Amino acid sequence: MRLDRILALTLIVLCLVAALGNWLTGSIPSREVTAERIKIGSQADVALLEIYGLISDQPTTTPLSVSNTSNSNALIKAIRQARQDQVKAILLHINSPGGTPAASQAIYQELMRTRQETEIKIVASLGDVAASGGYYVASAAHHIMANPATLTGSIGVIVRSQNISPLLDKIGVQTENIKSGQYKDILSPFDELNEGERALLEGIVAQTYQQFLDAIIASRNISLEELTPLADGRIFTGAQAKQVNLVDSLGNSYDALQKAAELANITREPRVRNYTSPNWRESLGIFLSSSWQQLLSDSQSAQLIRWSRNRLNLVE
Amino acid sequence: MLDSVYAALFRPGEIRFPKRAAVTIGLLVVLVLALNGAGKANLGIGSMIGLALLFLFAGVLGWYWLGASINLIAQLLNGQGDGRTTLEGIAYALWPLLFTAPAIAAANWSVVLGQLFSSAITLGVFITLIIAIRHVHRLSWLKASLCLLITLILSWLALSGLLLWPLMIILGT
Repeated sequence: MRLDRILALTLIVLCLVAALGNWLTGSIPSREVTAERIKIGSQADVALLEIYGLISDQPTTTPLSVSNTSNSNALIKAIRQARQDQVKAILLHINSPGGTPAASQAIYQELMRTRQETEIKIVASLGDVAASGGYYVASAAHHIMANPATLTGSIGVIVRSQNISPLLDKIGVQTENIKSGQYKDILSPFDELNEGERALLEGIVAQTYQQFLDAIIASRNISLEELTPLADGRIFTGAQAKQVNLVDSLGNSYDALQKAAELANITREPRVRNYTSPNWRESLGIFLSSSWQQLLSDSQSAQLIRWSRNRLNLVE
Repeated sequence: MLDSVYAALFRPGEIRFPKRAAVTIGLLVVLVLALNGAGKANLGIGSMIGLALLFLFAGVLGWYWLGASINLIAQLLNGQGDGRTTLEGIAYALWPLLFTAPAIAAANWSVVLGQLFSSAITLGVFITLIIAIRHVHRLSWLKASLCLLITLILSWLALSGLLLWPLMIILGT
């Protein structure tokens, strides 16, 4: 082969190898932590898990859309990944009004497993709201930190049913059910709850509620006698929750990070990696859908305010 | 093929822009940029392939946009080339972007070295683009430089307009 061809080939190969190296050095440490990487201390110290919106088992994003929910399976996967990456602490950022009992419980159990099987310290930082299922998840933490005005608590379980049959009667609509068993149409909006159904639902609520209480007692230093009066569904501010031992301290998310570092004996500035950040497909979906929805709704609101101000001569 | 690549790299004034070599260089540039981007964003293999496809799509659009702009301005400056050879010439002229990979790798060792490398690449792209315009359209150095300058300004303004007009409509200003 001629020298010029060899030179051209060498340069191309060199550039491709360098590009491959750029990709591998960027991607491999975050996904497969090798022993050498741990030795030179290049992996994250703290795994950040963001729990925003309703907690459920529904998918949070599709390739073209995103919803304001936290998917329990995605969170469990993130917790397991953090454990596999041997992080020293997990920081939960919670801003959630709650969610389904099963989804909240699943996340709680995975966090408790992490507590029991590893040395990883878990700190929960409560944002605007961490109520019901949001608190359920937070209770698995070694330490809960809330802002003084955070709304939390709401410890309880609710099953809501609506009976719209009187309305349908007025407009002459009749609904017929053919069912295989007496409880098959339980919670149907077309019938009033009967005694049997009510007893069944009360049993489910009582048992789920008991599981909620047991979870809090198992993970926090609080007795059933202390917890029961607080667990009637009432909400607390962060400051009130601190007084009744539902949270451990007051502070913002950066204070929570420092607490996580302190509990995990991280002496240097902790390196944080967000384990729940969307991948490129989800980011593209967010960009293509939600950002435009947000942009459109914001601009429409701005136009409405401007129009109102012009028409009504409002002054800010 | 390698002869064409070598000519593009070391004898840009002598190149004849065969289509296969132009496409090869274009694809190599896309692959290198996608690998660099995937590394920066900590992406896995699947996401890297997706990013490469996205870069390919965006690259084709950008290539066509730049080619059409350069050809338009070059024609106004009495250029002799056509759109197809302009596109092929641009694909060739982007070869310095291959060196972004070593530049990023160098930046990991020394930020200053990386910045110097990046500046050299940017300058290199400008020079190779001017050479390509000069070669394709048989323009003088001055006219080829002017063509590139006007094209870049117009492309930038057009791109700004493309992004701004939907916002202006939406915001009603």
